[in-house]
Amino acid sequence: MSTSEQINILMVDDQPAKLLSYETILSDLGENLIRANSGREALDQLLKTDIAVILMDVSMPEIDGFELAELIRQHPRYQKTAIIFVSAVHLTDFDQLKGYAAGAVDYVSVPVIPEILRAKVSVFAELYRKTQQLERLNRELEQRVEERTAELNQRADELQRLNVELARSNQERQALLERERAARAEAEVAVQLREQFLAIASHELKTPLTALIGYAQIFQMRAQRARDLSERDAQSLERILAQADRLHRMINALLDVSRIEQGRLRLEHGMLDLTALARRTVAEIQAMSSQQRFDVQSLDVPLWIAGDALRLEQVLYNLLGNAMKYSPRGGAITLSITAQDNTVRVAVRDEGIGIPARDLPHLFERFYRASNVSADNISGVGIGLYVVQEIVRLHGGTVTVESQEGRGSTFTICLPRERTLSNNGGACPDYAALSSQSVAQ
Amino acid sequence: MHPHGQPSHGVLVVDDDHAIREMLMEALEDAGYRVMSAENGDQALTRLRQAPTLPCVILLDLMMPVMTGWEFHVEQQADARLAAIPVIVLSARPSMQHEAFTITVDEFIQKPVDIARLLTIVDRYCA
Repeated sequence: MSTSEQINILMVDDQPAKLLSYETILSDLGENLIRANSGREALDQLLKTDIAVILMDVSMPEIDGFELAELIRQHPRYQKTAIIFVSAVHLTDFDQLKGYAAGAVDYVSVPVIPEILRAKVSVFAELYRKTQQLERLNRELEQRVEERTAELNQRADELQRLNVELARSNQERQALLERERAARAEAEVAVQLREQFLAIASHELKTPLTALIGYAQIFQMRAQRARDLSERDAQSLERILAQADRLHRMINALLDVSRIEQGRLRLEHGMLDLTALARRTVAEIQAMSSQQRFDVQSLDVPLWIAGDALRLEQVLYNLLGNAMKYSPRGGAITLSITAQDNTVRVAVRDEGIGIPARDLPHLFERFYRASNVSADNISGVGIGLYVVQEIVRLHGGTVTVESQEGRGSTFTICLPRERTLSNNGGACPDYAALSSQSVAQ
Repeated sequence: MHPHGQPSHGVLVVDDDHAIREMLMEALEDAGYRVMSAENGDQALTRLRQAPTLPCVILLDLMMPVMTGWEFHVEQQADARLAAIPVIVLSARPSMQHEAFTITVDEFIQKPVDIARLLTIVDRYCA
């Protein structure tokens, strides 16, 4: 037995004694046995309960077995229910056919042999169970198929939704990329415009400056020729020219920034005497200063190095100019030159306001100014050191700074004496190592 | 007023900026030169072709409308009568060496110009 559940076996006979004997024979099967004394009673039972196997006498008053079987078969629930006929009379071929046409049937002849009856009922009971089981399995299977189908549909829906989302996100990405591309193009145009503006503005500024300086010089020459200029006037005229020169340098610095950004700052290489260049530049700066003491520490011999004389003069001019500018209360400014193997070092030391430690890492950045310049109201735009660094870099050298706020600063440039093929010919110490040292100071 | 004693010596100043042209003329006149001026290359060529006597030197700006200094120089070199006149380029650009298309000129002076230096160079060609 595949299940422990009892099934219902309906026994139909008009003779109670026979019913009793069937009951005795079948009790061993352990199924639920239901009695019916007539066809009518049998039909009642069939409507009330679910019957698995029907055992019925063929010859009964009112409705005989065959008629009852036909009635039973009309009910959808019982179209295939097993019916075992018990017949005392001889069964003709016709009777057999009639019986079989009515569905799954069998015959038991009288006298009933208990083993045969038991075996037949048992087979049908088992068939019923198997069928039930199969139906249940089928239902389960169908349910599972349904579930899987639903699941698959759900997956398909999800997939569809994902596809739609993917398409949308792709579109969004595309739009984003396009926006990014447009923004980048816009930024490039803006940078170009700025560079152009810087170049044009500088050029346009230089034109009136050229006329201004020219006229001041013409005036100076005329006065000198006529010897009719007072010392005070002569000094004023010198000041005009000095300020015009300052303006000129500022315009050039702006142009240099523009060139550096476009990678167009180039050197004109030659040989130069660094000692002479340094002394000349110090003298030039000293002429503009009244409070600071200048000192040049170098051997009194020419020191020839490869480089761009104008650009290196610009570097020294910037460093000395800064030393002066950031020493508003005076103090000593020392420029020292030392040659070592195939490098030269130029250090510019001042006793000025110094640079706060937090500003040191950014000091050479374009337009960066140390945070303590405003206290002393020292003007500037923050491009001098940026340009210095670029010029020194193009020479294959390095520039570093050591400073203590309130104590002063020392800027040191290291330059290879001979022109190196790469930016760092190994002559000057590694730049990164030095800059971190300067930060730590 | 004429340190060189040769007032007939002429200089041609070519610059599109009026103030610079005037300034250069004054400086040169102070030094005793007779000065012609033009505000672009085209005008300079016309002046030179109409002039009975040629200048001893041409002070040439590069960036000018109508005809640039470079274009003028090409035309000048193609004109047999004018080709020999020395040319001093005055430019706000830092150097001729950086120009994409350089021209062979006799001198290059960067603007702003140092007048004393300019006169020394002009004297060299006109003395």
